[in-house]
Amino acid sequence: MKTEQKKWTKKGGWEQLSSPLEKTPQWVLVFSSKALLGDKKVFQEMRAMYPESRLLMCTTAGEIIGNEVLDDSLSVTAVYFEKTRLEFSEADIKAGPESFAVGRKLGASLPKDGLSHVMVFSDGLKVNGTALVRGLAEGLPANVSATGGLVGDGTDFKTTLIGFDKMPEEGKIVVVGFYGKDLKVGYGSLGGWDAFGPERVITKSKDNVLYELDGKPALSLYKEYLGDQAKGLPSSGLLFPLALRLKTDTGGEVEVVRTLLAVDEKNQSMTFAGDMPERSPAKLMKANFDRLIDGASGAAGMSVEPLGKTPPDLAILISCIGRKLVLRERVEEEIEAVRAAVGKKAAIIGFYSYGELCPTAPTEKQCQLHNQTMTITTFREA
Amino acid sequence: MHRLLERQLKKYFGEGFKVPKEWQSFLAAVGETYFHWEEDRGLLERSLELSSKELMENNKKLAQEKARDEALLVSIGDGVMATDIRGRIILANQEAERLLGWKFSEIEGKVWDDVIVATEENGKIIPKKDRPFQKALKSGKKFTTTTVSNFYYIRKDGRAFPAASTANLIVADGKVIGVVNVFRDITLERDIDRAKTEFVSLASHQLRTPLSTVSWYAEMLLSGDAGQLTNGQKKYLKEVYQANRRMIELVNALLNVSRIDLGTFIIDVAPTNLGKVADSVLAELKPQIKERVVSVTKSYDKKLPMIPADAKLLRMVFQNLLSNAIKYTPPNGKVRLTIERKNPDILITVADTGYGIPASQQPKIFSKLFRADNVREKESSGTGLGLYIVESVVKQSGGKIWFDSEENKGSRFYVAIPIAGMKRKIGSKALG
Repeated sequence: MKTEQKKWTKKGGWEQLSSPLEKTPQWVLVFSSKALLGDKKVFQEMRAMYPESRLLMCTTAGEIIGNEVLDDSLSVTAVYFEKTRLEFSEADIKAGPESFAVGRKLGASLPKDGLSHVMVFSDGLKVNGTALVRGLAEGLPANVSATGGLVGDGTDFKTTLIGFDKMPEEGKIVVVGFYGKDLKVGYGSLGGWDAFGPERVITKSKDNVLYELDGKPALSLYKEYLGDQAKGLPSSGLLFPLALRLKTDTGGEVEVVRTLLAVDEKNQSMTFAGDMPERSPAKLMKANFDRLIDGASGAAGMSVEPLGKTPPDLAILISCIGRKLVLRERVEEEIEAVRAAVGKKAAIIGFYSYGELCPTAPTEKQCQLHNQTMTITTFREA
Repeated sequence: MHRLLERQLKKYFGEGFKVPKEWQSFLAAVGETYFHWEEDRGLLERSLELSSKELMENNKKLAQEKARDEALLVSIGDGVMATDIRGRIILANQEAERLLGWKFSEIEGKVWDDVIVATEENGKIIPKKDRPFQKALKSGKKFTTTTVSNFYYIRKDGRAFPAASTANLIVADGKVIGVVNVFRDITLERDIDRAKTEFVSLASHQLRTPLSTVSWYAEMLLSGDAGQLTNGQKKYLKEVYQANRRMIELVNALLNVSRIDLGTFIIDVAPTNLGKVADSVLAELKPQIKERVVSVTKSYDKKLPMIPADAKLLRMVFQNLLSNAIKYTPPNGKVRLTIERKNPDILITVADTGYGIPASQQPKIFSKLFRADNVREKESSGTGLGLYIVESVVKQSGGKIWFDSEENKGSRFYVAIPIAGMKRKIGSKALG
C-alpha cells in the first residue's frame, strides 16, 4: 500500500506532505469544510488532480491530516493498494426513518466474495445512526466488519455533504468494500467522558428525538446547565453528552453515549445521533481532558493490535466534534496520542464527525453507533 | 487581551510595555486560551452547583419518602420483618416487636430462623426447612400458613402464640434480595373458630335424636306396622324417608368434621385385615352398584399383613372413596379397588372411569364443603365433606393420600397406610 498526502489552506495554499505516488491511486479521500466542498471549482480541481481515481469528498467539523487538526482546509490522501480490490456503493437518504432500509440495501449491494471489511461515510444529519448500523448488519455477512462515521458541518449542524466522483450533495451515504486476503484491518473506539449528577429517566421520546427527562423538557435542562453557552445550541449541547443504559436482547444492559445533533425550540425537542428509548436511565456526561486523551490512545492501541508487529500504512481517524469543542487548543494532543500508537510511518487522515461507527470490541465484527469517541481504522497490506 | 495576560506582561516587562508586532498573534492565541479556560471553569462550576442542588433535592425527596414509608410500616397492624437473602434481619416494624417481644436493635443482623423459633401447638419445634422463610426461598413463591395451620411463634419471654405467617420474596431488578415475612397473632380467630365448631358439634348432636325418631317412625309406617298404606302414600313416605336419611348422613358428617376440627376424635388401633374391611364396605354398596350399573372389580395382594389400624376409620375411608367412585361414574363404567403391599406402606387405590375432576378445581378437592362443578351438575346429593374427613383421618393417623384425575376420563385416589400401623390418638369422641 502506498499513500500520498497533501493539504490546501487559505494561508499556505497547496502543500505536498509526502512524496507523490508513482502509480494511479484507486481511492482518494478529500475532507474539507462545507464552504469549500460546496464550490464547484474545488470538485473540478480535485477531479483534474486525480482523473482516474475514485474520489470521495466529505464535509467535516474539522480535518485531521498528519498530526494536525485543521479547519477550512482541503485534506487529501490518495491510496494505492497493491493487492487489494475496492468496490463502492452509494445511496440517497431523505430522513432518519429510512436509515434501516438504506443501511440494509447498501450492505446487500456489495459483492460478498472475498469481502473483508467495509467503511461507511454517511450524511451526518439525516440519519438515525442506530438504525443505519442495524440495517448494515442485516445486509452484510456476519464475518465482515464495518467502521466509519457520520460526516460533519462544522459547528453549524445545518447540512452535511458527500460527493462520490460527483459534486458533493446532501443526503448521501457511501460504502467502500475492501477485498482480498492480503489486507489487514484493525479498529478501535473509545470515549473518555464521565457521567455526573443524578440519574434521570427518559419519559418522552420517539426514535432519536428526545422530549422529556423525568417528566420535564430535556431542552430546559440543557439550557439551565449551559447558562450563557445555551445560545450556542446545538453545538454547545455537545459539552454534555448523555450516557444511556439500554437493555440488550439477551436481558443484559449496555451503556451507550448519545450526542446532540439538533434542537427544535417549537417542539422543545432534541435530536440525537441514535435511538433514545423511553424508560431508559440517562445521565449527563462531562469531559475529563486526561481521560479523553487516554481514550484516543487506547482506541489507537486497539486498532493496531490485530496488525501484529508491523505498523499500519494508513490510519483513518474519525473523532467526535464534541471532543474538539471541549479540547479546543489541546485538540491535537489526541492526534499525537494516536500517532504514538500507530507509529511514524502511517499516513493519518480523518475528520471530526457527528457520529462514529465501529464494533464495540476488536473481537467483534458488527458495527455499532458511538458518540463522543475517537474511532480509528488501520490498514496494512501483507 | 485577557486581563490576566495584561497583568502578567506588566509584571514581567514593566508599566508601559508595548507588545512587539511579531508577538501580537502569538499573544492573541495565548489570550484566547485564557478566555477558554475561564469559560470552561465557569461551565464546570455551574454544572457542579446545579448537579449538587439536584442531588440535594433528590436526597430531600428520598428522606421524605423514607419517612413516609417508615410511618406506613409502623402503622401496619401486622408484624412485618424483612431479611436479606441469607435470612439476616434487616427490618422489623413496631407490631413485630410487640408480638415477638424483641426490640429490632436486639435482633438486627441476626438470622431470623435462629432467633425466632416456630413450633406446633404441642411445642414440637418446626424444622427450619418447613418454616415460611425457607419455604418461600426454596419454592421461589409466596408461602402462607393459614389460620387453621398448627403454627406458633415463640416470644422472647418464651410464651407461644398461634400465628398466620406469610413469607414472600423481595425482588429488585429481577434478583431475589431477601424475604419479607408478614405475621399476626390469631389467638382470637382460633377461639372464635373453636366456638363455632363446638356450636356445630352441639347442634349436630342435638339434631340426631329427632332425625333418628323420624327415621324409625317412617320405617315402621313403611313396613305396615300401623296398617297398610296405599301405593300413593308409600311413594311419598319413601321420599320422606330418603330425605331424612340424607339429612342424617349430613349431620353425621358435620359432627365428624367438628370432631376433627376440635381434635377430639379418637384413633383406636387393633390388628386389622384391610381386605376384610374393604369387602364388608363393598357388600354394603351392592344396591348402589346395581342401581348405577357399574362394574366393580377388586384385587388384593395375597399376603396382606394384618396391621394395627382403626377399622372404623378405615371403613369410613373405603366407604367414601368407593361410594364417590360409584356415584360419579356413568352407567357401564368401571371401578377398581386395589390393595397392595408397597413397603413401608399398604397402598389402597380406588380407580374409576368416571367424570373426573377439572384440573382447575383439583387443588380444592380436599376442602370442606367443596364439590367440583361437573359433578354438582350431574349429582345433586353429596355433602362435600367426605374427602375432607378422609384426608384428615388419613393424615392424622400417619398415612398419605393423593390422587390424579382427568376430566371425562376418570380419577385414581391413593391412600398409603404405614404397615407399622395407624398412629394412635387419644380423644373423647369416635367418628361415626
